[in-house]
Amino acid sequence: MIDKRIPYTDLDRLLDRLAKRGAVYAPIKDEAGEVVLAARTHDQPIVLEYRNFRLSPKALVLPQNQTLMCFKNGDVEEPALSDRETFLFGVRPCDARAMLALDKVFIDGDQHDPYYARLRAKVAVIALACTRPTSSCFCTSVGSGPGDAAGADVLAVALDADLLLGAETPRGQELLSCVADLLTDAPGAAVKEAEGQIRAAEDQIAPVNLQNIARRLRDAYDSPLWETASLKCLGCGTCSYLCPTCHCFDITDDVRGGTVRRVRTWDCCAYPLFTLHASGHNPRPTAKERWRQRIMHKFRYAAENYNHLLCVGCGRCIRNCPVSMDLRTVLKEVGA
Amino acid sequence: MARNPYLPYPARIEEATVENAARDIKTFRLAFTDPDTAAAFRYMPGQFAELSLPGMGEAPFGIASSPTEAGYLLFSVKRVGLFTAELHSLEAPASIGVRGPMGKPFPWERMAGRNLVIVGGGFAFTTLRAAIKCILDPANRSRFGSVLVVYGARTPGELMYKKDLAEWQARNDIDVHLTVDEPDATWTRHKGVVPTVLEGLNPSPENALAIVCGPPVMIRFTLLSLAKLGFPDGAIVLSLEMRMKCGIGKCGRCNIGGKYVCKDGPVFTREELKALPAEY
Repeated sequence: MIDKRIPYTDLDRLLDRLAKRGAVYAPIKDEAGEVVLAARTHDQPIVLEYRNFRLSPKALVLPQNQTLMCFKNGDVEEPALSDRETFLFGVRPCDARAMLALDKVFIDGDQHDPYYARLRAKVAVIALACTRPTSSCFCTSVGSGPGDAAGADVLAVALDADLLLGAETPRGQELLSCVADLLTDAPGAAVKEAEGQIRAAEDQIAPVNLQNIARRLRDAYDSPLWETASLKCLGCGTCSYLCPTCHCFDITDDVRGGTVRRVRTWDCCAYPLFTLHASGHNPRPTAKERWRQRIMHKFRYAAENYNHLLCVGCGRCIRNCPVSMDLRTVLKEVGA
Repeated sequence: MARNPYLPYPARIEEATVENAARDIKTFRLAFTDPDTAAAFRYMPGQFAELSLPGMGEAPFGIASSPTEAGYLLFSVKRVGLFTAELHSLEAPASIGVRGPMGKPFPWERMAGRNLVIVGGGFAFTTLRAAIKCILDPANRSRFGSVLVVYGARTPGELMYKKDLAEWQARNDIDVHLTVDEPDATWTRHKGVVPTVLEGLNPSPENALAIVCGPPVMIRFTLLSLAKLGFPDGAIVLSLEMRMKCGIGKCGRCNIGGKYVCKDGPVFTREELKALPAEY
């Protein structure tokens, strides 16, 4: 619940406080002027008015390349991890929610993933309500929205003069209590303004009908739609790499001199090798089966297995597809 | 704290035996380096494990030994790709890693008290060998009804586990039928494909369970034969193969519909498979 405020002039002091405990990631401009989530530095001002980053924060909990173990002289070593906290300051609610989706896969299931769990346990999320949705956003259709607090430890709303804050989890309460001297109670008018701002952002987002999507997809497995929908897919994998919830990975061995590193690497269901058997048989031989798998996994299998969609409606896959594929087209047509 | 499921248990190859005339299938007998591991690695036939060779990676294989064979694990591996070629080049006492056991075993609770029809073809006989060894163990045999085995290969030289087959044929509590497509001069057993032999034996579906592992074409026709014999879909047990990496339902590639072959399978009844898309 949003109930605290901090003037922008004190924001650096708040972030310095967090920086004493761990690494602070925040939205800043890179050399090209693009707003990215990056380690905070004192010479780069933080940007709170931005359209969402091209890259999601996924890599902080599921690194693109992650050493699982090293083999040397017959011994196996697991990499050591720092126990310093990781603060994600100012990420959009869709990306915060994506962490919850990844938790379903890696932590909540019947088999806990220690590599993900260790990184995830260090992460505290201070999400920033979205004021700048894009034409490819559809978060409001997947149960989220510009003011969604799911996955956030603290939810913030940027008003003109102040940043409003509210703790959403015990961890968020602890964070705010350690900067309590910088905070004052948010006046009712400011909270109303924040609510109005969130509603205004919601109104900018075009809804997609995802009612009963899991059932609709179940009935549409053999639909001719998959063939036509996948025709122009290049199988480049951009959608998966930029997706904040795509978690499929490969495990390979990297040999350098006498040391072997077993590495987990992002992988993608759009690639033909993803399911290719050693025999040459491939259960998903063409883009049709692979594209269907992508949609089914996110909107049906995940709903069945985790009761949670593997999509947060961030629209990255739509904005960044080199051939302008738009999964909303399929989602609208399927079973409609 | 639970053990890291990605860490292989260290083991050694104790023996590598060529299984077939084409010399492209070898059975590896492995023993864990650490006796505690050996005690902790509890499995049932039908389960699989990831074998690990640092530098080559990992690959999943059905466990060909039965837990009643204490002290070692068996894996029968056909040389097909990079990993299996490297594995075939190894001899005792090479080190190797084992991750597992993984997946669901054959439905042992349902199998108890039933007549078992075990149908296998080619080099997919590995976990069936494990199952038969387990069933025939003196401590277990009385828990099952009759055991009928139909095992086929292209030629007599391609039948695996010849010592076991001879042993089983000499027993009167198991009925073993071997068949080949191309017999040689000394062959005295069945000739022809597995489904035809199975139909000729005409096993009753009454209180029976069929377990089928083999190449896709054998599976397809065996399923037709079992249906003809009156076996309902729920009484037909199959084991699937998929490309796998993690083996614990995370890496996202071995799913058929919403089920992961690595953790929800690899053993499924035909009834369960019919509820899934035919994407395998």
